[in-house]
Amino acid sequence: MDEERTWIRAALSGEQQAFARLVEVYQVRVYNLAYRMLGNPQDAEDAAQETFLRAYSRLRSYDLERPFGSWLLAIAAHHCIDRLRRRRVPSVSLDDLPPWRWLPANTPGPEEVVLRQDADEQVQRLLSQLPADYRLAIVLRYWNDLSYKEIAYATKSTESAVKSRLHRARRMLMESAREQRDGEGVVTGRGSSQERGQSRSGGEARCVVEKLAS
Amino acid sequence: MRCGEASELMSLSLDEELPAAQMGALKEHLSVCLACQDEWIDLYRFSAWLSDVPLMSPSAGFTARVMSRLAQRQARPRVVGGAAFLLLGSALASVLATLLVLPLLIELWRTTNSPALFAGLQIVLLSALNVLQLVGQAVWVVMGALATTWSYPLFMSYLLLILLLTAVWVTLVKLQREKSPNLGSLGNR
Repeated sequence: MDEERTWIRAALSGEQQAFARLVEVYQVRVYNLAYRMLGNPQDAEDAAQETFLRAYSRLRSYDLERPFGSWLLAIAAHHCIDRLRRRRVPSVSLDDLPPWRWLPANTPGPEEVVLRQDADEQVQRLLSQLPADYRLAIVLRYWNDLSYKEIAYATKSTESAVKSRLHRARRMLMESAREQRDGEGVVTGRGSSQERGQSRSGGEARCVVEKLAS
Repeated sequence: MRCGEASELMSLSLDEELPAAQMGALKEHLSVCLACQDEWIDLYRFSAWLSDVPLMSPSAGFTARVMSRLAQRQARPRVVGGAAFLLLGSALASVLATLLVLPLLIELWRTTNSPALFAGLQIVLLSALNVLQLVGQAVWVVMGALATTWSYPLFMSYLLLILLLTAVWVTLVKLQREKSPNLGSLGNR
């Protein structure tokens, strides 16, 4: 953190090498956000670069007491939302989605890489179903570990709005996944809600509730 | 507790933002509601799966590309400013030249019928030629003296001193650039 502030101060005094260090540290988080929001590598690359350029030109307005990452992600988030508004993305039908299936928690074997790619595609297609502000909340929460307060700061909204967006986004994602699974008739190891309720043992139910305490 | 309310609390719990006071109520509801248990399992697994999807990384050389664009963007205002300055300077110079020359041209046009004007111009031209001749003779004498007398080593020392000072200046500029490195050092990043 102190080292980061030193780099920021140096960048403010015109040392571009110091700003390059900040780019090195934050490039993955910024690029990932842009990729998850925009959905393709070319746009993500351009948006991530633009984010850093804007950050450099606005560096004087940065408050050193705030986390630099949140400030930077806020710039990235606004830029991506602007791009999405300009883009007029054609909505993707649920029928275009691949068969949904839950991935095992610990997938062994040589297929791991392929499954990873599969997971990337699946998550990207599911995210594309969400409105931009919901998608942004999910990306900031899951891949950047931001708290409600930090997400509110990055998206210029309130904590209660963030709470609501995350809740609704999760429900929409779940619905998309379920509809796809049911529509394709894919065997996922998880049946319908009724079947699952009937087949679950008392032990599993207790285990599920216990997860809350952990 | 209604199922809708429980669903909201589940989301908060996943984000570790659920107050302890409400945790007990949620657990109590889940222990009796099978539909919410299903909802919780799905949410929990979905959340775990989402968290497990790795971050996407840009291709190699991203920092260099950013810094290159930054340099281009910073250079653009300088180029535009330089061009604007040049244009403005040219315009001002033209206006000044016109203001200076125009009265002279008017005065010249008024006095074209005066024979004294041509006589005056002839005198000025002859004087200028005389001055050029004198300067040429002076340079010739000095060069001859330098090549033949004791002042030759002094002159050469003076030239060497100038070369030395130039070398010192170049070294200082290089050192200054190393202190504030340019973008070339980021090429392989």
